[in-house]
Order: sequence, then structure tokens, then C-alpha cells
Amino acid sequence: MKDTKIEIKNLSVFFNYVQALNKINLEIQSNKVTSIIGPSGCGKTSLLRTINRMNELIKGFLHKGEVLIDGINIYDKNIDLVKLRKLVGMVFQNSNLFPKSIYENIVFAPTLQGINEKGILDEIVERVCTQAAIWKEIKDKLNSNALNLSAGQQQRLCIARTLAAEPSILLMDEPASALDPISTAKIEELILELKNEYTILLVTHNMQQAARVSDYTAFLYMGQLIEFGRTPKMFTNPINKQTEDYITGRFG
Amino acid sequence: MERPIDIHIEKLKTRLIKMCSLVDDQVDKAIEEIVSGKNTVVNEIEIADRRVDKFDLKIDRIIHRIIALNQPVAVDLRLLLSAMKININLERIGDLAVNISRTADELKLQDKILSNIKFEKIAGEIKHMLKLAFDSFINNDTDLAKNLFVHEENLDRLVDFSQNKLVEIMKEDPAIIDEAMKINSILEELERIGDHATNIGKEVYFIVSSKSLKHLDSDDINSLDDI
Ligand SMILES: Nc1ncnc2c1ncn2[C@@H]1O[C@H](COP(=O)(O)OP(=O)(O)OP(=O)(O)O)[C@@H](O)[C@H]1O
Ligand SMILES: [Mg+2]
Repeated sequence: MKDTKIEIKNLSVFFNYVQALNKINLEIQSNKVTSIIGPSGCGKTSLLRTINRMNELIKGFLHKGEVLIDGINIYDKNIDLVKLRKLVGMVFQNSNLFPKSIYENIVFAPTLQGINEKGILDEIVERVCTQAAIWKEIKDKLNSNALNLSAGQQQRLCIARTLAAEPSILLMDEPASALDPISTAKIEELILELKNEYTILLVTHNMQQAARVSDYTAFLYMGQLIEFGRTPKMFTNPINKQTEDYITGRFG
Repeated sequence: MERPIDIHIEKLKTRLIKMCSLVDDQVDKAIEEIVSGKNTVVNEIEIADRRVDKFDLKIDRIIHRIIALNQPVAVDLRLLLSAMKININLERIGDLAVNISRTADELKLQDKILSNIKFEKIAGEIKHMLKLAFDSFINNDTDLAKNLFVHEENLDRLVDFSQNKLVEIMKEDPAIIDEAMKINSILEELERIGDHATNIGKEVYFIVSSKSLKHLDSDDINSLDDI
């Protein structure tokens, strides 16, 4: 059963009049993992950032086309950006924790939303850290500096922090690219867990990762969507020759 | 830690085990048909064979997908490569059962011949070998797998004996040659079922130990260290 969460219609993106995305049409399904793959500079990050309007922070950004979430165009004039960014959480390639305690990092979003009661905040911290599979490792040092954690732990903490804002969409830009195989496996397992509750978009350079965790895969090349479909089909029998060349490592 | 690939491999094993039981049933019915002279089961075996063919395709597809999506290594990779071959062997056993039942369908005088050629023993040996092959696969049991080689030799001897007996019978009573030749071809096909069962055992041994038993005879195999 198809259940579209995000609909990208004819989306083009420009930075200083240089085109980064060219007429992208894409339907992202609810509670599925969709991977975005493609060579460096093809527009993966730009595409993710149109979904929570992060691109607008960049000077010279221009866009054409629509992005609908639950049927509502998020580029509409009266969209509340704060609400949008709460709805659409983002995890970046490198952890971007604040140089503060683990606890403070996690409660950042809930406090912004006006939650002050210690009991409730404690509950949120335990819940999201458990979801992000990091609770056991940090529960005894919630007050220590978040930046003292290992890279893999920091990345999972970023995920926990994002979950604390209670988004319904998770954008992940190469969440495991700096991690060892075990931490990577943990993040992948986590992604599979989380998709029961969230709609996930995953940018990855690791083709095998896309194959392992995603239900759908989109292949971008030079700002164009070359192929989009179910992951098993893409990785056993892609339709497009360029896709086949890319996933088999024959590119360029 | 359960990995995503574990779920897929579990599904694959379940399919293969179902296929084992389908094929087992086909062979049982074919043997039953020879012994009892009932001609009603050909159709059943053919229907079962179409199911087996569907399983065969499905299993190929599952393996293809698991390899493409999970990049298996080490024991996972061995299991998948072997599962592919086990699948082929199972499918062949099913085909042989169909052939046998079609030939059995044409028999009229088997009562006269079968009791003279130790057919019961051959049938028993085949059934036992299939059980060993399937049990060794289901339980990753290399002892059961190795055991198959003893039985294969036994089967070869029994088939040899029966074929010699058939020659004698034909000499004594030329009128029965036609029938005896049919039984001879059944014997050969049963022997091949035994070979396929043994092949399955070899694959199980390979999955567990990573040692290949291909092209070894039973003396080589009995002198292998236990793993
Ligand atoms: N802030 C920016 N200002 C100007 N151009 C930009 C900016 N961000 C991205 N671009 C350009 O847009 C294009 C797509 O960049 P994007 O970051 O989306 O690629 P990517 O697929 O994420 O690459 P990578 O795999 O290296 O992260 C590139 O040509 C890039 O130079
Ligand atoms: Mg990028």
C-alpha cells in the first residue's frame, strides 16, 4: 500500500544561478527508508536540505517547484519554519553537538518547546537515548561533556537529540560515514528500528549501506534523478545503464 | 546481535526445508507406486513437481537478493553458495521422482521381479539417505553428512547386485526383458537420487567447516578429522 509522506514536484535548486538540482520528481513513502545515492556534488545534500528549508540559510539560494509534506506545500508563505524544522529532524554527516553536557544537548529542543519540568525532561532523555541505542553507554554520565564521547557515540547522541524534538521525518546525511563497522552496524540497526515510527531519508556514499537498510533508493547524477525504485530491484536489476555502472563501481 | 541478513537467511532456510519435505514426499510416493503397483500417484507427483519448480525459482531469487543487498562474507557466503547448489540438487531429485513414477506407471509384472532383486532394501536406503541429507542440513550436522558416504557405497553395492540379478532374470525368461529394462532404469534413477542426497551432505559439510568434500571417496572422508 502506497502512503506518500513527502512529494517533491518539479523541484529545481540554484546556488548563485548555478543549478544544483534539475526538475526532481520524487514521492517518499511513510515509514520507509529511502536512500539517496550518487557521486559527490550530484545534489544529495541540497535535496535533503530542501525538505526542511535549510537551504534558505544559504545566500544565493533559489528554488522552483514544490515540496509537499502530508499534502501541504512547505514553501507556502504562511508556513511556520519553527514547526517545520520540528517536524523534519536532520542528522548531519559530522556530529554537531554543543560543547555542553550530554543532558543539555538532548533537552535542547524540548526546552525550546517550553518543557521545563525536570521529571518530564528526564523521561524524554531516557526514552530517546534508548531509541537511539545509546542509553546504556551514557546513563551514568549524563552531566559530562558531550564532546568527550567517541565519534560513534556522538553520532547516536545526535540522533537522540533529533528524536527529542519529536519529528515525524528524519533526514540523515551520511550518518555513519565517519564510523567503524560496529558503530555503523548499530546505526543501521537503529535506522531499521526507527522506520516503524519515522519516515527516513538517508544520504549515503556507501552503496552497501543503501542496499542493506533502505526500502527505496534514488540515484542522483549531476542534479538529475536518474532512477528511483525499490531497493531490491535497483540492486539486482536496475533499469538505467548509468545506475548499473554506478552501483557496480564502473563509473567515470 | 541479530543482523538484518539473519532474517533473510532464516527465511531462505525455511523455504529450503519446505522444499526438502516436498521432494521427500515425491520420492516416497514414487517408491510406493513401484512397490504397490498403484497407478494413481503419477498425477500427484507431477503436481508436486510444479510446486517444487516454483520453489526452485523463488529460492534462486531470494539468494540473488540476499547477495545483492547484504554483501555476505565467510559463513554467510558459504551458506548462500551452498544453498544455491542444495536447491539444484533438490530440484533434480524432484525431477527424478517424476521420471520414476512415469516408468512405474507402465510396470505390470513388478511382483515377479522386485522380490528377487532386494528392491525393498534399496528403497529403504534411499529414504534413509534423504532423511540424513535433510536432517544434516536442518541441524548443520556434519556427522550426519559424513554418514551419507557410507550409505552411498552401500546403495551402489545394492544397485550393482540388483542389476546383476536382473540380467539373470532376463536370461531365464526373455519374455520379461521389457519389464526388467524398465526396472533397471528405475534403479539407475534411484541411484542418482542417492548421489544428489550425498551432494547435499557435502554442501552441509562445506557450510560448517569450509572444507570441500568434492571429488573425495569415502575412505578419504572417513579419515577426515572431526570438526
Ligand atoms: N552553499 C553552497 N553555495 C554554492 N554552491 C553550493 C552550495 N552547496 C552546494 N552547492 C553546489 O551544489 C551542488 C550539489 O552539492 P551538494 O552538497 O548537494 O552535493 P552532494 O551530492 O551532497 O555531494 P557530497 O556527496 O560531496 O556531499 C554542487 O555543485 C555544489 O557545489
Ligand atoms: Mg553532501
